[in-house]
Amino acid sequence: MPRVRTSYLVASSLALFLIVFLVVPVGKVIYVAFQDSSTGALTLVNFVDFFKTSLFRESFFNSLYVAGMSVLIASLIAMPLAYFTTRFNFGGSILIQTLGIVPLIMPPFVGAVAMQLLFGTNGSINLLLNDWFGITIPFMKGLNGVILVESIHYFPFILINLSAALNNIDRSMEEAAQNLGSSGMRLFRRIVFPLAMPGYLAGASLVFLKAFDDLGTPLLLNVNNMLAPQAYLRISSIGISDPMGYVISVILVVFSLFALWGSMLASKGKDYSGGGKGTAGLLKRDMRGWEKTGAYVLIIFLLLLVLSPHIALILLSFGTIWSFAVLPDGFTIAHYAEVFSTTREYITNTLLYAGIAATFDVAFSVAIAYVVLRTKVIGRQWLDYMATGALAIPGVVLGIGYLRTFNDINVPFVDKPLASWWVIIVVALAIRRLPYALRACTAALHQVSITLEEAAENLGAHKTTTVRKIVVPLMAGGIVAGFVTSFATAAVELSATLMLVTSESDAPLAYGIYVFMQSAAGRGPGAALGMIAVVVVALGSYLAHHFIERNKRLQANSTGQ
Amino acid sequence: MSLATQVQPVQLKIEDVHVSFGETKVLQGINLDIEPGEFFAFLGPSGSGKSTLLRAIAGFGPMPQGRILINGEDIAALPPWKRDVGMVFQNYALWPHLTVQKNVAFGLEERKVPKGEINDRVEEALDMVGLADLAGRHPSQLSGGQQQRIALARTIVTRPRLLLLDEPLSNLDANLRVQMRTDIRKLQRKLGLTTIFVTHDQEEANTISDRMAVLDMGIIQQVGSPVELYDFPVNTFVAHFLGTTNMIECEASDRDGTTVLQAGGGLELPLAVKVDGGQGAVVFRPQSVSINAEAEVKESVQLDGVVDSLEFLGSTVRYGVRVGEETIILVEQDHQRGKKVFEETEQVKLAIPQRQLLFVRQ
Repeated sequence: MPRVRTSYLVASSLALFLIVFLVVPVGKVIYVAFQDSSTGALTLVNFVDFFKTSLFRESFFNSLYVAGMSVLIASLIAMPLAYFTTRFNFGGSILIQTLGIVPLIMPPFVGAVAMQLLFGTNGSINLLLNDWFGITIPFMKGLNGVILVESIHYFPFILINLSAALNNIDRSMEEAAQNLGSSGMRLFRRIVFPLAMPGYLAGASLVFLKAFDDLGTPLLLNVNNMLAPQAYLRISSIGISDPMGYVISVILVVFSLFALWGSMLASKGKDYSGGGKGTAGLLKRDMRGWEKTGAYVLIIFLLLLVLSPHIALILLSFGTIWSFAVLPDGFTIAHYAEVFSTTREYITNTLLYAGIAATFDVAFSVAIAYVVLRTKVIGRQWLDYMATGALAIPGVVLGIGYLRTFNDINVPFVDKPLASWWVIIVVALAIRRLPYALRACTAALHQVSITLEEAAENLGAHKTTTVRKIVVPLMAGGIVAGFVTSFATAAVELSATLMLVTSESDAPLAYGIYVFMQSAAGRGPGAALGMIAVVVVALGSYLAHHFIERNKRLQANSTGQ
Repeated sequence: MSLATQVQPVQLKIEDVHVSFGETKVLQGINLDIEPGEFFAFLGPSGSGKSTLLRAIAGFGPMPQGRILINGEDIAALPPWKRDVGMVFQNYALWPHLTVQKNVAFGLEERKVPKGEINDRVEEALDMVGLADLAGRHPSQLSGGQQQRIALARTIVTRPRLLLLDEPLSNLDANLRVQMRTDIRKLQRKLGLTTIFVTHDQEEANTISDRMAVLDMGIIQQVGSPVELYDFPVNTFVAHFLGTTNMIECEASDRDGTTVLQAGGGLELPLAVKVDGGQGAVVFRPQSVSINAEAEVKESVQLDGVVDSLEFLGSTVRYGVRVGEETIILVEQDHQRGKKVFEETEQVKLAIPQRQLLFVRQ
């Protein structure tokens, strides 16, 4: 049967790529971590060394502490917001929804330096506090800074998941409890909270994972006693053969997998959304006067907090000199001019790399989604597992894996090791962002009713024709959304890029921001580059949202319902 | 060639077809002959295998064992796109990204029909379902009934050898359903297409089909015209599925040359025909029982009973009459103004003509 052969051919080439560029490099990293660096024998001695070194022990606990505290602070921001929107008829809901998106359009490391100018020891806020009350608060001191930046950026994961969970609770659940005599806090504790728990845990574990793995933020805040920066510094200063980088990588991967597994476990088999009959969402009531005032005060405070990296970045990018002052001394567009005239290749490289990576990701994702959902290829689920598993691989780890695996492989014609050829950066970006595109494409294919394909076959269309004329056009919204999400996030990816860039002429935007932000003089242009990145990501997110909504409308109206 | 030109209708023969989903056997040994030009219904409850059988004919679902023959040619191993068997899906399956015109043209494009002819044939098909003015719309801009007609046009435009309809009326509201039923039937007559219609609604099957097969648990229980199945069900399942019925478990035995059915509580019913002895059930329709008849009903079984319940349905009244200790007999009586309606606990006499009693084995 020809069609069976085709699907196996497609499936195995997909698998081969994932094995070569994901499984093997990560496997190599894990293998080296358990290898004695001189004899090559399998051993645990590297891990013993790791925990014997006080710097590494400290880094390990710091990373756990930062991730844990980030979850806590992010929860404190997200919970009241989720509560307001789901429990009350509240005009401020639109503000809260904005709050839920704004932080995501800026990767944390971009705003990190700018945040120091606002919240640092000599930053605007502390200068004002010192003037007015004679006190300063160490917002940005050491780990505090990392925690503040991470939680401001990643709290939307909790907000979005928790609100969705609360909104999906069938109203009759709450009414049944009231009917049986339960009310108030008791009802909340026994019914509402347990039903919303999976959503909260899913969001919280994502925040944990992101904060635990992040490399750019601690590096830019000059906090080096954490795991990801240690891995980077060991490899970049001591060299590719130093076992500590690998040990750290294994720990990062284990914790990431653990967090990911936790989030899947939290949502698995606990889809509490109603059977479709009842009204979704909790009983809502109007706010009383003082409640409304309080809510607005809190929301505006949080909005300012959440927008502070953006505000700071804008000030920094337009500011002349900004030091020991509440605001910059003057304003200029010189930084933007400099960026556009001298370092244009950062921008063109980014567009090129992210464009190729995202194109590749959607092509791959459509193929994987189709193989997994529509064929009977044996082991097809593993394609999905492998591709999604990339979520749990921190960029540092993938970078180290590539350096170790592909350094000895020379690319013909270019005469360079594969590990230092620019294409490897694109491959890393593609692998890192594949899960995003895959999620979008799988969701899109799920929405395509299988009878639409059967109808085409019934009218004489071959499988491949059906895919081309029916399946792909119907998935178009999801494919575009997947492309844009992959593109926008690949454009600001730093951790793997940082490991793989060998010459500035090959470097993308995120790397440029990192390099500029290293020096005080480079902060202005760095911020200008950061603003460009924010605009790229914001546009991308808007487009992705637009296409997802359009696709939903199209699908909702189809199939005769 | 116009769509309406009568084509030579095909015959469909199904031989010993088995279908399993993993361990679950969904169809177990289906044998069926459908005559050229026939309007045939598969009737059964959900899970009976009727849709699976229809999909097997179209080439969807797991590969069936056995043979499916169109005019003698076995199509069981062909992929769906080579069968030329038109199917209208339950949810219509109109492609939301294509206009009505494009949806209907799809099958002709796949068949490499010249462009000019495609346009003509699409127009004709849309005319036939009365929606020629909607060609430029998208499916989302159509009502349920219109979508249904477009789905039908999309299928018949290719002049398939067979027309398969998978519960095509189930998503329409009651009035529209009756209208579509008539329209589909007219269209089928006009095209002379051998047609199979899947439904779980016995009224739908009765009104639309020439013959039907009643399915349960993956087995064909009985094949016949609607009247045959209603009047002579071969088992209790068919009797029950085709309308309200009285069914009393009993044992048949011979007494002085006539067959007598003995049920619980001492109830005895003599049969007009002779059958072999054994366990079974006696089946008779509620409307064949008369209640306190003025004239004596010829060759009938007389029973005394008490009205246990009544439902006033307008044109008829349905009584539950308790006879003996264990048996409730349903009686349906025509109603018109002035006719007596019996009350609960009222003593009544029932008369059941012997010819109306049907003994079935389970």
